[in-house]
Amino acid sequence: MNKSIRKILEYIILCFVLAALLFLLLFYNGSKETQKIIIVIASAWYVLWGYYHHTKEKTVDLAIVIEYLLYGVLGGLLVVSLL
Amino acid sequence: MLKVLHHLFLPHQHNNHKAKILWTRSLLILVGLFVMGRSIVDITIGLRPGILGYASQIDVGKIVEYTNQNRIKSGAEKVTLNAQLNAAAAAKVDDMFKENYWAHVSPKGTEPWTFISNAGYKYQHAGENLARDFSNSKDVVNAWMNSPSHKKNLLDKRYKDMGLAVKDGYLNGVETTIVVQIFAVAPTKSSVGKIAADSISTNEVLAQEEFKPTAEISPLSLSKVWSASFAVLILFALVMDWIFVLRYNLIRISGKTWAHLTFMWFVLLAIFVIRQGIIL
Repeated sequence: MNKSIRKILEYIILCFVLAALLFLLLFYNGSKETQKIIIVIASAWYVLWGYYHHTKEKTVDLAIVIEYLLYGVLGGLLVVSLL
Repeated sequence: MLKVLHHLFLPHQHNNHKAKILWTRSLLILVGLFVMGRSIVDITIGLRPGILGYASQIDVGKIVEYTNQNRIKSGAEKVTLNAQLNAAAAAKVDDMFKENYWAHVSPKGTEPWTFISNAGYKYQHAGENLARDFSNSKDVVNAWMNSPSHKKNLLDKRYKDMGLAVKDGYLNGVETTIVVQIFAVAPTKSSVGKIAADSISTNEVLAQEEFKPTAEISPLSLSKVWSASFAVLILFALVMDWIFVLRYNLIRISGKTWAHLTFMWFVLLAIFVIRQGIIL
């Protein structure tokens, strides 16, 4: 597969999954436990996506994984703290 | 000051072509700052009960309207407000604030049905739905409809009467609004008495149909603002980073700014999408 098409596809998948999880958050308003699980899934998904994306790009290293992990943790904390 | 902001938010040669606030170390500091800020709010609530408050605009009439709309849609009959059940619901809310609990059964073991019986309503079947920390009536009913057990109560075809109470008070030192909804049906001549319960307040509850927001700061909105501020701060830095990387065609070994932007947009939207009410 063409490299740029693969990259676009990966970004589309990232957006699509996050949009679906956002919809689920909306759907499960009032059910805090379910919403917490959705946020944890979103954070984990983002870290995994980052790892996969950089592996394919052959640019993966520990600093980058930690960067994605920190975004995942910070993003998750910002939302979970409201529940 | 400008130099600091420039260093924090704009990529240039002195910050290794990456806004300093987006460095791994800075992200760690942001996590720490966020946790610290939240802890201060929690400690404030603990040390100075009532300094942070919450009040909503929940209308009893709207809850009745939304409840009956859902019942009609499901093929059940409308329920009507019952004065005795209203009184029972009001007594339940008062008891929750007085004894400082959030549960169907009080710490002393008082069950919801006791309040119904004490109000003078003889029931064959009854059920109770509780909600707190919601800012409007529609969200309360929607939350109940999204929970199978509450939905079952709300749409139960056996119920004919309903009691509602909406009151402001303090739970664990934080001002909140509690909604108690009780459904019940009186026994027919042929039926045998069976526990169920609920009631609605009369004039006393009607007097509290509307709650105006108080001047106090809500810990819920404060938390939302706190979370949103962090998300906006990072989004701003990421947007600036993206613009500069594009403009100067910078090549770095780093995570993808577009991906981080996408995720932080998700986080910001999630912060606004989440409603903070609780049902029981």
